[in-house]
Amino acid sequence: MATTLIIKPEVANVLKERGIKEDEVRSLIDWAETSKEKFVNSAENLYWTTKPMGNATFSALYKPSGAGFELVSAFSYKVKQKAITDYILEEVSPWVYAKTNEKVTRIDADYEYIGVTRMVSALGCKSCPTAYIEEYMATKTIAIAQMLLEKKKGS
Amino acid sequence: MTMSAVPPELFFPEINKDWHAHCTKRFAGPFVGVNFDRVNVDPILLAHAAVANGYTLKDFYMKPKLGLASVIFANEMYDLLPVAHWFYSNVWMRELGCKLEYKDTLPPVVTGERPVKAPEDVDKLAPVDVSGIEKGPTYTEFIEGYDFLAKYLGNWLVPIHFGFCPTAMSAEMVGVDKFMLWTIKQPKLCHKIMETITDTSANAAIAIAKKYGFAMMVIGGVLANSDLLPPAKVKEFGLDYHIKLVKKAFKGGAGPQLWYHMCGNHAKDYTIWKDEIMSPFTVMHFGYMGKESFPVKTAKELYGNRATIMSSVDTKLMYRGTPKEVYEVSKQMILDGKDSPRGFIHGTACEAPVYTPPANIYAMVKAARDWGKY
Repeated sequence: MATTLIIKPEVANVLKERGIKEDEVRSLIDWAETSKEKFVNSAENLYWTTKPMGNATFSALYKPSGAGFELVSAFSYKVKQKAITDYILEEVSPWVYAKTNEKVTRIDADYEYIGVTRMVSALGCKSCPTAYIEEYMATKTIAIAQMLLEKKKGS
Repeated sequence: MTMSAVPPELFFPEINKDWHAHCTKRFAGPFVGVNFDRVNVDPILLAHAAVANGYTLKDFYMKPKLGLASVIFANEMYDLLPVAHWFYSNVWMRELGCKLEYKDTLPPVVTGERPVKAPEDVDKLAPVDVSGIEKGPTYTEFIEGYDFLAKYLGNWLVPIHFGFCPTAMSAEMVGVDKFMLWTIKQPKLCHKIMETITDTSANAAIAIAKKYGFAMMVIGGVLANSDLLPPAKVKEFGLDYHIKLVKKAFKGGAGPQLWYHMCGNHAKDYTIWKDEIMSPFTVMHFGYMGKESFPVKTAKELYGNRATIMSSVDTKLMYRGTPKEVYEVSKQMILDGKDSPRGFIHGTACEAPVYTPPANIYAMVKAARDWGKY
């Protein structure tokens, strides 16, 4: 059953700017709620899920609202996760992994883009199958890095 | 007309475009996994470039445009890098109340009374915000240089936020001896100073990124080293603030490039720095293991799968050694590092001493040509 998802106009504008379709976000959140593949921040009553879909990885931040949810933000990136190489256990985040209640900490993982593999800091846990790149890192650092990699690879 | 009276854009002949294109492709190699031509060589040219071009050390630091133009021409002369840089260690300090003195033989030094004279002064400290940075002398200098590049030499411009070493900068706020004593006796005071320095430096990175769209971050672990602090304190007063600095700066749009420059002796603490924040463009660079250059094999073993690594020819050897000695040391470092999985740059432990014989820089390049071919 499709989840009820409120997307306020200002968030819809962010999706538009980032080239993300509302259907993609709905499908992502449906999957997260069914599979419990999400992080939970109880203090802020916030959820966060991340999933590779097609040629990109999509991420959504959302919160409960009535019988459904309200979208807080969504973003995507093209770098593709490979191995998680390090768990920096003392850098604890406010998130826990919904499936196991494990604390989410900083991790370092390899990511591949246009044939280049480099390490990126993200968040995760030992049971989490996917590393979550934070929004600032994805929309700023990684976005520029992808552009520079394309340029450098072509130079 | 004296050389100093000639604007930098008129003093140097046009850079060879074919050389620059070739060098750009070579420099991209370590970061994109497609090695081209030969190992890159970076002797960290700063004031040496000005002196090699007929200016003085003081000219370099007092005239950012001239400093950058000197570095560019020296890069072509020595066949080094396709990017320009200009910086010095005591950045962002005037904004926090320090006075800088320009010397004939040294980079600008902090002089006179320090902003923190007594413990109670620490409570009065507050970080400089982005707007304060934009009005301050350090940002103005950097922007003068970068705008000059954007106008005349755009393909050389990489806007750099020079963060230097948060520990060393914090120590300058108090005086180095007193600060080191406080790390044992009054650690809370040290942390308050370091928070101020870190926030200010992050705001500086954000200001540069705001103007140019991104900002490569150069961050040092200079005072946080094994000669002065045990590893746990290196983490507490070094690494932990690097992490805070990079996170805040990245949130404000700085990065994605990160060059971690761990000058000094890191024999006992080199493993802790693996927890630095990593981006797709990270370079890890350690100066020394005890009194010796940091072994390339050790850097490759621990960091080769994490980042591009950089070797460290001893700066004393660069200054006092013979070209033959520099060549032999370079040869071994290049053979040890050229296959590092995420790329390798052959460098010096810190900036090339001002009066480095040009032949010694050429010896590094010659070794890269002879032994660093891909």
